[in-house]
Amino acid sequence: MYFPNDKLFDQITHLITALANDEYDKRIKINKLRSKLSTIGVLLNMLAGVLKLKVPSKIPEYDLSYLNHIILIVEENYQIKDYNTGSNGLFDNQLHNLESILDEESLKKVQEIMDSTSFDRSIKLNYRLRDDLFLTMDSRITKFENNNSEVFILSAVKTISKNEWTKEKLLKKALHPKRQFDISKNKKIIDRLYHYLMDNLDSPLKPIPEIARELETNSTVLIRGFKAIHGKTIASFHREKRLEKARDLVLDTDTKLSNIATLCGFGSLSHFSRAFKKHFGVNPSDSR
Amino acid sequence: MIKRAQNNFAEVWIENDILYFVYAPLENLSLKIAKNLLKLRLSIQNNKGYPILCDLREVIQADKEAMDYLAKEGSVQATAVALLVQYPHTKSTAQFYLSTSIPKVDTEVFEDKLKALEFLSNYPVKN
Repeated sequence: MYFPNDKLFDQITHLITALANDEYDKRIKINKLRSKLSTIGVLLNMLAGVLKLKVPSKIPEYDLSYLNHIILIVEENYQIKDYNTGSNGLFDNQLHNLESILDEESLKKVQEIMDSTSFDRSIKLNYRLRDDLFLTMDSRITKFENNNSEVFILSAVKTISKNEWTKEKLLKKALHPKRQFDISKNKKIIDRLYHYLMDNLDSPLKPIPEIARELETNSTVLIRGFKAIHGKTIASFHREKRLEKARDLVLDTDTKLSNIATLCGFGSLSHFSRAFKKHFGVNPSDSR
Repeated sequence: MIKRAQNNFAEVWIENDILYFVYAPLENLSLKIAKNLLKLRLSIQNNKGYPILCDLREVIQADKEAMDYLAKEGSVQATAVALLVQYPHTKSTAQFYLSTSIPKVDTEVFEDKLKALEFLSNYPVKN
């Protein structure tokens, strides 16, 4: 049986394989709807977004990842002059020109920054990987002069899961093992910390050493263990849960905003309103 | 009087006690755009809750964070939402949104604008 080559079909199979390997950051680039296959591609992208939020918290062991740093030296005409080994692993042999590894929207952003004088900000760029899927990465561009011509450094970071590690890196890791945090040994104490935080949403977070004393453990176990299992810091988790509780009270009850501020551990109504607006994008008073 | 507002991502207006929300062609609805659009909608509502006819037919896809935001915070000052879609694309993505993000107000998917308006007629404006 003969089937003609179909790029979108190939991308869909690559994304399904990526999802099966716990890689939830990759996406298919779809800017036009050409067939029902485009809809399948979009639904797979949306499924990846759902899995990304759900799966790491269920299987914390899979959350252990490796930070890959990409550095490209680029000329004004987008020609790539040089790159680090991390880039080579992601893009294979496509590293000649930025146009081959960035989508149109990202190229526009790069051009805007190259044309401007302001380089001190992060941008999200969509990179085309060797499997033809796209990955959004936080990136930064800086400029320097080299032999009277302008050259740009484009850097980006990405976490990759264990199964993407190269043989060389696995060997290096085996020869020089770092002591990893033992999740199974400390799971109970982190569960106690979780419940402690949820029981104390009506007050600001106490200093970690004080919480550690109350739970009869040490700060390092709490800080490292909580991050490993829940994927975020204790402070950001506690702040997020207090704001979610506040949101439910704002939307579902007639409780005065000043009382909600107190119930969710905010020192003043103005502090509460600022934090709410920053997190949800609307003032609590506008939410009713 | 028809109240109206518009930006690069959508046009909103109120007519016969229905808030019409029509998305411009959009490749990806991100959280940043979702926040921007909620602000646009609230700007014409004068603190009243409206039934909303939301025309999604030009949206290709949406980030999970954006869908969750629209389902929760995006439900403020909305008494019900009728999502106007087209088979197969936006009908599938809208159904995905309904089953994974679960909006806080009554929300249904329609391919027929008249049926959508009939559904919204059960949800009056809330002062």
